[in-house]
Amino acid sequence: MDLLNNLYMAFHIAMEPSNLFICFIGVLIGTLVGVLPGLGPVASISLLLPITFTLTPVQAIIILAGIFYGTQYGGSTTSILVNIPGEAASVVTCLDGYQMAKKGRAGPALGISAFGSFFGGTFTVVMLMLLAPPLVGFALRFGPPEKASLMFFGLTMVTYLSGGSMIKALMMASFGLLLGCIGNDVMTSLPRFTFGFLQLGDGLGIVPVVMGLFGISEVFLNIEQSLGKREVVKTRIKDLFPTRQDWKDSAGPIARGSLIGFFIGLIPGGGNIIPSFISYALEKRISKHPERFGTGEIRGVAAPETANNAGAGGTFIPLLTLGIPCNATMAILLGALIMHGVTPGPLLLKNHPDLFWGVVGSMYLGNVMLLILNLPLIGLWVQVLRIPYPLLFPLIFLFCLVGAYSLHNSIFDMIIMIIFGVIGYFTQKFQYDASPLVLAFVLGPLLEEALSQSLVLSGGSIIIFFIRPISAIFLIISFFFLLSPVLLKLSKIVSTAK
Amino acid sequence: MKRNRDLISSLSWIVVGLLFCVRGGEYGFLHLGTLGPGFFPFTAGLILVFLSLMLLFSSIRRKIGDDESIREKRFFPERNSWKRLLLALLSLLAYIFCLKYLGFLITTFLFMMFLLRFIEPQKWVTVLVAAILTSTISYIIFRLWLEVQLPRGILGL
Repeated sequence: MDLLNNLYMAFHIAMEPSNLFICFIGVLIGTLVGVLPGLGPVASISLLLPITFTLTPVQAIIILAGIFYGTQYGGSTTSILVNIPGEAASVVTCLDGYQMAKKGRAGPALGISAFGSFFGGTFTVVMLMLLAPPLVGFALRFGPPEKASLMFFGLTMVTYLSGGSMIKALMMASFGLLLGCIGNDVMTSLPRFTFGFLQLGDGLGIVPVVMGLFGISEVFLNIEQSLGKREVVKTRIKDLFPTRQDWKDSAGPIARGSLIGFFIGLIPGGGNIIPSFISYALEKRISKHPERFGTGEIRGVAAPETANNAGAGGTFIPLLTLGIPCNATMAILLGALIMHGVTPGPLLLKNHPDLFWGVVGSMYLGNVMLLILNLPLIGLWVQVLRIPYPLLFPLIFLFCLVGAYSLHNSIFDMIIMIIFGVIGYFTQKFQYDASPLVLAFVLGPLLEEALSQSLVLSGGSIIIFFIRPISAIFLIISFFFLLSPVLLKLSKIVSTAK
Repeated sequence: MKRNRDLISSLSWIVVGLLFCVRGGEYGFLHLGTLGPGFFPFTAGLILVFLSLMLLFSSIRRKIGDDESIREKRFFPERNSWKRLLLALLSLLAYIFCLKYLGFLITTFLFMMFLLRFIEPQKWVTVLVAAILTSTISYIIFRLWLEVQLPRGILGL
């Protein structure tokens, strides 16, 4: 059976010693990053991009993916122990997790969260494995107009779902598109917006931009305030294991969390943060004792933890099957793939089956490794939290600088990174969300190319996007979401007028 | 106030958008029956300008019916925030500048010393030890192990 063959290949590749090692390093770094507040998965993936150059494409994706879903595990540790979410998707876990820790139940909280994460993560890998081939078969019928519409849909959804004002998110997306235009034009090879800088011929480069926007700017934002010491919860972590009752209580939330995480992660812009909030809200809504949530209810830990891991896995599916990134992290991975000479898209499965199945296999193994890492080694991670930020941030700076330099042995990239560090700082300060920018920056050139090709196909007529059914559907849904705020306001005006 | 920030940012974006529009316009819209190099930047720039105008208008409108009870966080949380930020930024630029002349090892050492002492002052012992450790360890990792071609200064380091 095809599936068994693929599974065999997946594990065969994933278990090659070098790939196994790389996977381990990835999930280890991911957990570490997840534990340390102030350094999120996007920032750390950006920082580690340059290192992936010495690796093969398979290894690059394995390690970056490992970091990503690893952070989902690590983030819960600090949420539970110190009430500080290691990263955004673990915010909800603070609500009940920290309460449980204060009651001396940190062990079961950590245990259930690790297990829920494992279940959620593994569930989505299985779904990835089952859904990918048919999805890819469907996507292979995409021509340029469908690709363009799909990218447009992705951009729309990300701006729709990003927090804060939609206008601002759209502005960020437009700016990202503009930044993507810098460099030599694909169709004519004429330089655009390069102002005579030869180094800009290939564009700004995803690495310096992303390292600046997320790494450098994050440090800038953190050092604004005096950096005191962090206190770690002093309770000793006895009884690492949840009770039987805990397991019984958590079974439902874990199952529901997996489904929620998976489906929402699949949608462009869904990501893994939204599922964590939704699953918590759902559990509270259907619970017989909603008042317990917020006081240390284990369901309030099990559900979001499962959901955020499931969501993280879900976001891989559009990238690996359709070549469309659905959030900033996936956009960066897309950039990484392009840099390694792999063209993502429906043909990825056909042309590079080893990459696809190798990544799938390593995601299985990665989740297992993380389960092991997170249970016995909790004490270790707690120690890591003691590193004071004043010592940490110069290291982050150094890392960014060397990383940016090492791309092309060029100081120019370092300067770009710093410029985007400043830009990132100001965009955060003025309350703009940087995710649409990254997505648009990566998708921009691809979108432009798809648009051009579509018009060549149609002989210059725009109708092609609306005549072809798949493309039309994507566009209609996109316009619906884009215009929904306007429609909402109109309906309010109409109802108050009556 | 929020409207001030939105005012400033929307105006800046209008300028940015216009710059791209103008430049994009010079590149030409049509080329061999399909989109020319200028079409995409021009359109995106136009969209940016349009959205910024919307933001501008909404921020001006908010001024008229302002609800002062929603006070916003100050731009710089602390009095010397901007000093720390400026120092951090300058240190980054100085690093790049010195890299060519002093080489990786020395520049990194000075960089770490500066940041550890002047942003959030640590004890001199900590500063020295941390600076020495980081610069040597990173030298070993990046130059010797990963073989990154880091700049050598006049001292050949």
